[in-house]
Amino acid sequence: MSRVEAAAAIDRGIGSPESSPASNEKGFPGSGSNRKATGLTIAIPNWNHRGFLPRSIRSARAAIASMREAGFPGEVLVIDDASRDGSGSFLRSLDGMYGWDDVSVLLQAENGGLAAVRNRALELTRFSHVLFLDADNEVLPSGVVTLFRAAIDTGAAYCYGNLLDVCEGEVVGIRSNEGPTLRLTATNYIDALALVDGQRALAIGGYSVDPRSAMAYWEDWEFVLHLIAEESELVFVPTIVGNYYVLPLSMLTDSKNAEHAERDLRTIRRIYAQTGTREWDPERIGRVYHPDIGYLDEGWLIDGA
Amino acid sequence: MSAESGRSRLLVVYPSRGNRFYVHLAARLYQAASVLDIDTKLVSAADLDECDTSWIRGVTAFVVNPVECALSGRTVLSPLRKSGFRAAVLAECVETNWYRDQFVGGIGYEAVIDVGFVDQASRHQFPNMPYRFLFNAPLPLECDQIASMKPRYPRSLTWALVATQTTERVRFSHELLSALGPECFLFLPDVRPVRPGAGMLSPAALKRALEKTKFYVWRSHHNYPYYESFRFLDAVLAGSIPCKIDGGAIADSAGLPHTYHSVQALADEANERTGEDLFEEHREFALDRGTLVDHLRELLADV
Repeated sequence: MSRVEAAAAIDRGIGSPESSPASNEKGFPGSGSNRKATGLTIAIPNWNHRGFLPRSIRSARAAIASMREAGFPGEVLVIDDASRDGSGSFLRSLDGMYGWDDVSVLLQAENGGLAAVRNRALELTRFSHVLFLDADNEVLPSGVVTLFRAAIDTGAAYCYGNLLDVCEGEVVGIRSNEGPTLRLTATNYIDALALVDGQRALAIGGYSVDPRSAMAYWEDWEFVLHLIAEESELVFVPTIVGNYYVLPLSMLTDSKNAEHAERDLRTIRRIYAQTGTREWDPERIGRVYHPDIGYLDEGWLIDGA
Repeated sequence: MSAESGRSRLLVVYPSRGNRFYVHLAARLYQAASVLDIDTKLVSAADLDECDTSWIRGVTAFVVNPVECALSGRTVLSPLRKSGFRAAVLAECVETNWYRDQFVGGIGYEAVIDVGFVDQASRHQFPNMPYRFLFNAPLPLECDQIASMKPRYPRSLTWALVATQTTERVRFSHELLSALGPECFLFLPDVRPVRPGAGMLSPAALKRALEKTKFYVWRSHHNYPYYESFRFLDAVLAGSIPCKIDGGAIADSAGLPHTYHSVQALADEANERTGEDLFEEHREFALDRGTLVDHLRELLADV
């Protein structure tokens, strides 16, 4: 986190999602360049998750170390979205104490929302791919390397793998646990903790921040459906990528938020599954792939039966 | 098994819809019977009404999973009323509802044929339904493949878990992660039939995954004593080491190679013994008990 550009960005209080990275962050990694080196940025958007940051940053750094051992460059980018819980000063302290060279931090002066922060990471990364890690979750280093290798092998725009749900120290479920099918138009089973081809994501406008489309609660689902609609390839990698921590006070447990979320859900379905029948469409919209094995969604003819 | 004129005849019926696993089971029976010089037909339940009725008359019919066959229609098995002998073919633990449900309604059967590694006759709960056990040995060609295998370990993936997801299995995967490490193949989709177009692994894809995997690990989805013989064959045919984790329900006297009381017990043995040694014991089990053809011949002589 000792990178000078990062500190400069912090001091400028960069924040407006509408501002141009080229004009505001001249020295910041990735800004002003269209062609990015093959590699990975693990982007950690943070909003009032100070208590979880050590866990997510530690796991991200371990993953980047594994990436480097495997011969791939990488970095960690933490973007604080104007937290009120002291995350900013905490991140500054970490910088002062440890002076990590593999972590950059950006403190936004104004809250822009999760979608805007993710878009910021897509703009600022100096590498070809971005893995989004919510500040309260953690990644498994070998899973990240496997996911990245799958992305390179397949050229997919979006790669994801199994996440174990953990609640109060117990494993209670799993998500992002199967290949992409049009069942996605009915329900979202792919979490945002996934690896994204940065250029392709930006080419379709990134995550939606348009207030008219009201995607505040399902922006990750909308993003996946948008990629599918634009015929970008999604790939499921059957490995364990990390832990998803189920917290009692998530945004969607609030009744008012739940009401808004239901409205957003209707909006999404109006855009991507107007008839309500696409979930039965047999069209293949993605693949299953493991870099040690190859594609795994073929080979159904057996035994002459 | 009798023959009215010339060769004996066997009709193997499999579910057209439902789980692809049963198609695989039916195909193996068909291949074994073909080696026995039996006039054998392999027909899907949905195509049964197109079968020559004179050929069906008096035939020995094996119906693989009648409940799933009936997914093609309640009367789809009616042509088999003209058969000479009808048996329901299953590969299930006898205490489960998946086994019991097979005998509710339907066309009626003269016997149930249980395909597996452990005879469950003493636990079969339908006294009016004769029970026959068919040992699920490899086919002759599979025996040749298993005999000639020279698997080397480590492999790029240490363990694989392939099943539909339940909370228990997710916890199981976490245990495996902790005990055996992160290099894994984990496929736990939501419950639905394994068939083309459903986003599930094909048998060929599973084989390719297991060819890169050292331990193919599973646990029953119920608490009764049972050993899933097809999982064993899938593993051994891919040079992977089959590992059934079982809380102790399976009696050691069943002669089954390596079932483990816990994931930790598997991890301990993995540390103490080479993969080559472990595979060798499974190879011996697979090859020392004859072929599916031998066991089918024996069974057919008795029906």
